[in-house]
Amino acid sequence: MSATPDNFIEISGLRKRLGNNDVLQGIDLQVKRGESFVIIGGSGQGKSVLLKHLAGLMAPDAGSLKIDGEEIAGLSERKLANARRKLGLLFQDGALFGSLSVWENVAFPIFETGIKDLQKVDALVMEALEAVGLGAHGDKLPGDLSGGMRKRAGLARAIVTKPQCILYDEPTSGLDPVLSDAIDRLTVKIQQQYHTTAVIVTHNMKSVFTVADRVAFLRQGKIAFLGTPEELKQSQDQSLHDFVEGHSAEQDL
Amino acid sequence: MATFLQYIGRLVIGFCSYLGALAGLASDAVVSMIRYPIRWRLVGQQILAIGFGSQLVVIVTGAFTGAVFAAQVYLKFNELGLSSSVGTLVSLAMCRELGPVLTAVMLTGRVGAGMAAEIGTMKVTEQVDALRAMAVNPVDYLVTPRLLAMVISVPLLIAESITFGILASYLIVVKLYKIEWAFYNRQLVDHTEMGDMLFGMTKGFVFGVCIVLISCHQGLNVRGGSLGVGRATNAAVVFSSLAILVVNFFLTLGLNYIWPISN
Repeated sequence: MSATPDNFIEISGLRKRLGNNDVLQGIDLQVKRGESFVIIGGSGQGKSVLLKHLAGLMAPDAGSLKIDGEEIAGLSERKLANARRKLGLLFQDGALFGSLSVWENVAFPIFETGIKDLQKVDALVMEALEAVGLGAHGDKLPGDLSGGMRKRAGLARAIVTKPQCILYDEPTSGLDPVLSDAIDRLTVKIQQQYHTTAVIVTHNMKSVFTVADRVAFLRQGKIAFLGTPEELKQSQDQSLHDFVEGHSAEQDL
Repeated sequence: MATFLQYIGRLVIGFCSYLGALAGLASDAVVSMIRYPIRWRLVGQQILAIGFGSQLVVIVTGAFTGAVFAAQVYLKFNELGLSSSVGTLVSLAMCRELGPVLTAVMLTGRVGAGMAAEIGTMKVTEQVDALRAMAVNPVDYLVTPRLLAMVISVPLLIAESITFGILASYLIVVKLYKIEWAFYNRQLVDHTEMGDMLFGMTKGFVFGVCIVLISCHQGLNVRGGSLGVGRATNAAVVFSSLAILVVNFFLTLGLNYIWPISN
């Protein structure tokens, strides 16, 4: 498969085995530039593993994975740095550094790019913190934040270097419906403000219909559905329909 | 019999693969030091944490080891009419064996356990992955600063421990058991050389490397949440302590060619 300028992410024949489980069994996928792409699927179906492959945090057993046209499958830890600079990753619980304040956490990736001018760093950090509604909380430690605030601080850290693509790992998990909606709207706002590509892994069907341009449904390590949210609603696939509607089957009990 | 041999075989393979992983981490850290910018601010923070934070441990270890060793040696040597030689024996033992080994074992408990727990917690809370996702190599950020801080701090801490050991032996032998200061001092000065101190400090350098590599490796390979962090911390202390005792034997054999005991 040749890289096209329209696709920011191109995955072909991606396979991963963990222990005795074939978690990814030949994933083929393209994510267009500027697109908001959502990956859904039941627990243990390989969504987070796929996202970790996109960030270069896991290496595939087989297959090709291109970020902005650059093949990253098989690259060493140090050679992955170039592709990783084009990505921002929001972890499930924020993964903030516990010993650093929110401001220092958000400033961390800026200092890593080599910018040392404190005024410039502060301006960039405050812009990111304002964008996620945490402008007044820069001096707090992660331990003093609620779950929703930690996710927003993690999001500020993910966007502060203005990456070309942001990867979201379960951005609304563990949040109440109101906070979940706030995070969804924040995701859309950031994508519009920074013109980024977004790949979002979620269980939350409301998020899908709020933020997605396209949706992929992962089942047993394969893509069982790929289409728009409208096409998802109209799908006749029983297991997909059950997942969207939140119905459990008898064997799930 | 076959099962027993299989068990031994698995142990040997596991041990060799563990040594290989430690060598891999050491090689990554050397590459990091040579080819990538060193984070001196982090090195400074670690020196503060290791150096200042270990003062109580180092002083108590050195002083009480020197004191108890001096007391035991005096009681026997006095019977043999060799009481003036106590200072020599204490000083050589502290410089060459007791100071470096006991201080390093104590530092394993204080510093090595802390490193494994801190890095292990970062691993299970995805902070290590967050570093990687931000294009920061965990070896550059977590291992290299600790390695540099330890190889700078541990030899100095061992020198400090040896000094307190000798001072404590002076208090025991001269002040408590009333040996003439001149005898004690003459014997100590005549039979202790700079090489003896360098012998102990060189051991400290190597022990520092062992503690960092073993502890950081345990931390970076934690699996299974808080239980995994506990296991890694425990393994870091046990493996580092064993490594110190084994490596010390070979160092003693080797370093005696460079700094033999003076006549």
